[in-house]
Amino acid sequence: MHIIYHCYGGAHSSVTAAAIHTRLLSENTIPSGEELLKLPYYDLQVAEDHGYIRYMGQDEKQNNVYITSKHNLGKSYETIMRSVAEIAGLPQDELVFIDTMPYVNVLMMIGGYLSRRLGWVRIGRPIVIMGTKLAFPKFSQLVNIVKTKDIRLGAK
Amino acid sequence: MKVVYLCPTGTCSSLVAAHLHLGNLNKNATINEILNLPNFSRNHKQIGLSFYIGQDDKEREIYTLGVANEAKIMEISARDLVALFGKKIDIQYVDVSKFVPNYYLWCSAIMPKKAIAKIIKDNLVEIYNIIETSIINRDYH
Repeated sequence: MHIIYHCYGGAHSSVTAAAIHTRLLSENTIPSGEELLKLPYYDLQVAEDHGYIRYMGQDEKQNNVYITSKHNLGKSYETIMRSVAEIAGLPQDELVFIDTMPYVNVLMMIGGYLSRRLGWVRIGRPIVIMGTKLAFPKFSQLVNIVKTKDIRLGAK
Repeated sequence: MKVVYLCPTGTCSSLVAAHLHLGNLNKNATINEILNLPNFSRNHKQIGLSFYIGQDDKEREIYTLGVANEAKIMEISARDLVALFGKKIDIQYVDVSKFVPNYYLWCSAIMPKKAIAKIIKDNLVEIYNIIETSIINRDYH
């Protein structure tokens, strides 16, 4: 199965959730800033990277986990991707899309905007890291739900 | 091979482009002919639906897809999604979003269909040229 975490820019919330899912981060311990910055793609993706589906790793059930960015598409992202899957004849039940945007807090938005959009990394990065730490339990809970529930979003 | 025309709703410029491709419309089509296309300017509230429009004389399946104002990144995502399965599926995406104003999704409920049809009608030749260029280029590769 392919599990795709998606957020606005694919640089913070989706990366954090996917990292918990693939055990790059422990789900029970709030990571340090250093640990977050060691994650692939964390606070790194810029506008030119948007849309690409990036591989993050495999979980314990050998599901492939990815992150991507979808700007302001919201729930429409999944609808679009499932339409593409239908056109291409891909198996819908092997795709799971998880929106991490509802768990993003104001600090992550402000820090992410400053760091990624404006390129003010020195100012934005500490803010987005602080926001990620605060939101971490929610991302952890989200991943837990994804892992424990038999989420099969194949039906359109 | 499949051809997917992209626009914000999947029912505006992409629908017109698909019918131009299939020869159901010509580049001198009237506003009424555009308005009479099945599903024209519908489903703007649910973004992301695809519509199968038909098959051309070279057996290419023609679709439209609504991608809001994010055609560029959705095309990238769509290609990557197919690649995840390691399949080589020949899908050509043709972006005709620029013929629908960016504000359309916000005011489509109050904007008369005739107004969007007129905007598209005024750009029919350019839309046709995009189709012709995309398809001709494709045939040479």
